[in-house]
Amino acid sequence: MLFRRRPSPDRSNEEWLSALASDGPEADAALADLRPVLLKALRITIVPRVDRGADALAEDLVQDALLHVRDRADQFRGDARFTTWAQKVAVRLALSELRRKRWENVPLDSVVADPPSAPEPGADAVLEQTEAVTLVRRLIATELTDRQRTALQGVLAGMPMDEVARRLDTNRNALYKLLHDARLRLKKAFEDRGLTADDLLDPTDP
Amino acid sequence: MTLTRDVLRMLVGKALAARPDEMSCGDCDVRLDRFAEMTLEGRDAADALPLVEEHLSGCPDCREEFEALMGVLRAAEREGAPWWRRLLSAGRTVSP
Repeated sequence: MLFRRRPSPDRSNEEWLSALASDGPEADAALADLRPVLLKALRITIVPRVDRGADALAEDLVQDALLHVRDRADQFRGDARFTTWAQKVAVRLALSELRRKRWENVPLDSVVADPPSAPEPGADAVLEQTEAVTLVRRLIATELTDRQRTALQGVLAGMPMDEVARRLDTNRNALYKLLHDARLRLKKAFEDRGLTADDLLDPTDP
Repeated sequence: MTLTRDVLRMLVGKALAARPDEMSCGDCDVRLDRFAEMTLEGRDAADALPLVEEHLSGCPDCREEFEALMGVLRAAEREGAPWWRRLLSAGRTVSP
């Protein structure tokens, strides 16, 4: 044969699923075709987010990404290209890993702890004195559970949901539901008191 | 909890925007690939999948994942485009 057939990722969704569900050479060939696609997705995701070591991290993660894709292929709904779905899995894996690395030495306590009693001077110190802040503080203290309060404080402090969830020994989906319930409780507390956004936020604030 | 102006604004805004039928991160995730493809094709993904759009506007983690996925898809699209379109999208001029 003069020309060897090039491995091609141009398969239909059904062909991808069928190949990955099989054993032996067909699955190996599908994974081999998918590897460069996922490696590229990982690199594109990681490169702008780290100062160095992006290629090495992408190489480290590509095998995990392939395993994730193969093991979860039955979760693919078929309403997008299979490669898009697989790239999404790889992107999420990369971002979760980057978040974990960035926040690994930051305990949740350190971001949710109350600040020292004497606030820093400046605009925010002035804000601390306003009625709205006092009210919102009180509602957070009285309307939310400890777990909701901790989760909310962690997220508001800028900690990624993945990382707050990890520290609360839960997953991101459950954390979102916990926070959603907290927001609904606060909304009801505002509404019960007849408070609107204008009452709670300074309308002259830029 | 330190309630700076930005944190207060965010907290009040998120609380007042809360609705019982919001989509969770998991529900958003399973639709994100379709949402991203529609966005890439220039279709109105927000109109077709409003709950996904709403979730992305309020969830920074899912938003970051969506934007990263768009970066991956756009890069693949650029690679698959003809040479003259790649030059144009890179902002370079083509000599006659």
